[in-house]
Amino acid sequence: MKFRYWKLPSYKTTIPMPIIEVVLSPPSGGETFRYPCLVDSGAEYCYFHAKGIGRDLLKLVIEDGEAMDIKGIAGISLEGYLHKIHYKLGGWDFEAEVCFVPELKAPFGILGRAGFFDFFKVQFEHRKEIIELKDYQGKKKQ
Amino acid sequence: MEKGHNLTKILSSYSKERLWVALSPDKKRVVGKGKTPKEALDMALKKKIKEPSVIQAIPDYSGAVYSLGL
Repeated sequence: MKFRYWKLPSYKTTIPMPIIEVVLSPPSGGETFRYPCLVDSGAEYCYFHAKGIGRDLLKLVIEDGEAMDIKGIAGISLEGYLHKIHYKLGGWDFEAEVCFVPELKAPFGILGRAGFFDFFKVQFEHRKEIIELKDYQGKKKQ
Repeated sequence: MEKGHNLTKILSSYSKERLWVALSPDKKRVVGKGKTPKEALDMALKKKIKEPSVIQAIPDYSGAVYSLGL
């Protein structure tokens, strides 16, 4: 399945970014919502907002997850908590381990190697601003 | 192919305060806003919007290594 980049505000007026929405629902029941995420092969895990998304919308007890340290570019270490969650994306449905980060500063979620790239062959056509996902059974969703 | 979306204009009214917004399924309207994703989502759900999308509005999305800068 192919996804066009989203265009978001920047100092140059606009910047195209490889954003894909995941569809999330609280495991205990509740409203379904979409959460735009940056596709980022530099990220070891998928990183979601702990309070705003994990606690408030998915109704998770964040501190019940496995605690882990995440190291940033400036050498600053942040705390994250791993939780197994279900997410849907473009017709696929996955259970994945996601790291919920209380101090995540990104304005969206991050789809990284564990929990996203290990499910998909991901092809960027950056000049055309397109990402293509194929699952490892070779299926392309249209 | 999933459509891309140009959010440059619709996010601009909310970016100075760095509000969370809920977007309609076609991403053409802001249907909720607040200081948290929940506030934005609740506002959208009151309007019976199905599967709104929640994102934080900021003035400039460029220049960040999001996964490393966190």
